[in-house]
Amino acid sequence: MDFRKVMLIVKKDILESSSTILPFVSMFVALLFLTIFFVSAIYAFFQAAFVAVSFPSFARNFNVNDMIVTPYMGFVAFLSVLIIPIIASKSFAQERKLKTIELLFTYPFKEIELVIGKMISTFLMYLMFLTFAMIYIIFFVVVYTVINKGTLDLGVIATGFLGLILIGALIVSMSVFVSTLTDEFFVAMLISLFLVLTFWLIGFTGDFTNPTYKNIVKAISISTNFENLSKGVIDLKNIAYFIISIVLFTYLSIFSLTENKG
Amino acid sequence: MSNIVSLENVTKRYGDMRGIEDVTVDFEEGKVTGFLGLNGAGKTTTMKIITTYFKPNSGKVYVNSIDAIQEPYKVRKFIGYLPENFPIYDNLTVLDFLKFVALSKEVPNVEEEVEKVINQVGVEKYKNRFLKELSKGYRQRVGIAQAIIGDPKVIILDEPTQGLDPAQIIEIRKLIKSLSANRTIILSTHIMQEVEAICDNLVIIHEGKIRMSGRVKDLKEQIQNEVKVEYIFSKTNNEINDKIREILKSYNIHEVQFQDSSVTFNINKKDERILFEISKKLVEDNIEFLYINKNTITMEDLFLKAIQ
Repeated sequence: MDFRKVMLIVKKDILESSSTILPFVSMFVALLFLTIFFVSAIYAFFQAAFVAVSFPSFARNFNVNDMIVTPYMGFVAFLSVLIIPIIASKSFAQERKLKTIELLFTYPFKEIELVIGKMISTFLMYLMFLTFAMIYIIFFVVVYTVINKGTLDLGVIATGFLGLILIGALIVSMSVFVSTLTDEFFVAMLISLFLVLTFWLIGFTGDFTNPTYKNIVKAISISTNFENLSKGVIDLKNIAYFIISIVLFTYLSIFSLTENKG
Repeated sequence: MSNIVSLENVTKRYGDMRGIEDVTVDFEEGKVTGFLGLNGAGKTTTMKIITTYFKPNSGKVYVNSIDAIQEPYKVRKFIGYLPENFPIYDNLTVLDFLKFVALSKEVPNVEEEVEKVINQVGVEKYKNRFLKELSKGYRQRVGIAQAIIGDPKVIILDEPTQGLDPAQIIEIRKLIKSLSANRTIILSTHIMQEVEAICDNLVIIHEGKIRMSGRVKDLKEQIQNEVKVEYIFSKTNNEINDKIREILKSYNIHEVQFQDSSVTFNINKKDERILFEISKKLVEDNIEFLYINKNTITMEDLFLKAIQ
């Protein structure tokens, strides 16, 4: 694999990204929801803080990570589940629709270079959303530090951020794979959303079933594997889950492109 | 001259549908070859196999002596391809798009090469325009520019004049002609005039099979040496047609076309005197004909004959 070729695809996609407005609209709407969530969380936190001052027993359980950081990271992860399929679905579906994929396949690109290039360009757009999302948390850390004359547990924020990066990369690889299967952007988007939401929500069904099923769904669920990271716990099992899944979907994309050119 | 592209017994199917069947054909280095066929004949399939876009079900494909099925990535470096209805990236400028192509083809001196092809195809004035803003004729020029960038050994142009207005067709033909010196070009078309105007060699494909291949010069000589004869009869039926066939066979004329009340065949110009004898024989057999037409043969006639 020639990384210069990968970056060529990334550059072309970035230059071309203005051709579809839907990803930008979805990111903007997601950031609006995030703002509402953040403001509500801060408001609830300061209300609870006043109660904590009056009732020392309550103050013992008063934890800024549990009240703001972890839920906020969880909400960012959930929004990522919704917006990445919208950003990623155009990657190959649009090339197929416009038939520009014929050009890419007759230029000296290897399938792996095309797939990795598309994944990086999509991931960079997601990173844009993530940057805006993290600005709120950084702002909160600074304000909290000044008011409280102390510092937050930055480890929770760091592992949460790592979790969001891994979730983003996994959903990008899933959605890019789906987009290799069709030339319809909306079809790719709906299938990706269905697939990603299934892997997200399946984790919540585990508690209502027998232990064998519970272990399986917890092992394959995106939300369950993110949970530890959002709480500041790095478990190699979770990291391995994300990396293996990303590699698997990348391989499936390459296979699909090789076998399904017509 | 050696062959730069060779297909050996290549078959491609789309499920149960035929693409091409057992195609064996060579394309000569440094020549412009017209790849002629009706719509759906298998031209695009063959070209997409040469470009490595499609993998055939069976057979061998060599480009510049490299196995295109085993090493598609290497072969792509030697090929410039203009697909039918050239697809574009709407939001790239001509310059950005051509730079992207040059870099992907690992062309040395990218800026210089891009400027060169922009001048060659005549899009200097539009180089900073978005591709979506160009007319179809200029888009096609950009399509040709991306195909010739880096001076590939083989240039494949799939119906480059399709969908253009007559003025644009003339311009694009002139452009292809100007590019053709010492270049290997495979030009797919269903227009015989295009082949006559541009090509050195000709390959005719029909229903997925190669029906004819040869040098355009030889075909033109053949045309000049032959004459198309048409007898118009007052009435015909199966019995009369059989008799006519027998008479013509006795003069070694085997390829005969019967249509309504006319019979058409080709003869060598120097054998024209046999027409008198054939006519005499027809009269003797009481086969009444009204008149005889003698026409020069066109390339279209050869094409139609090849696909019969």
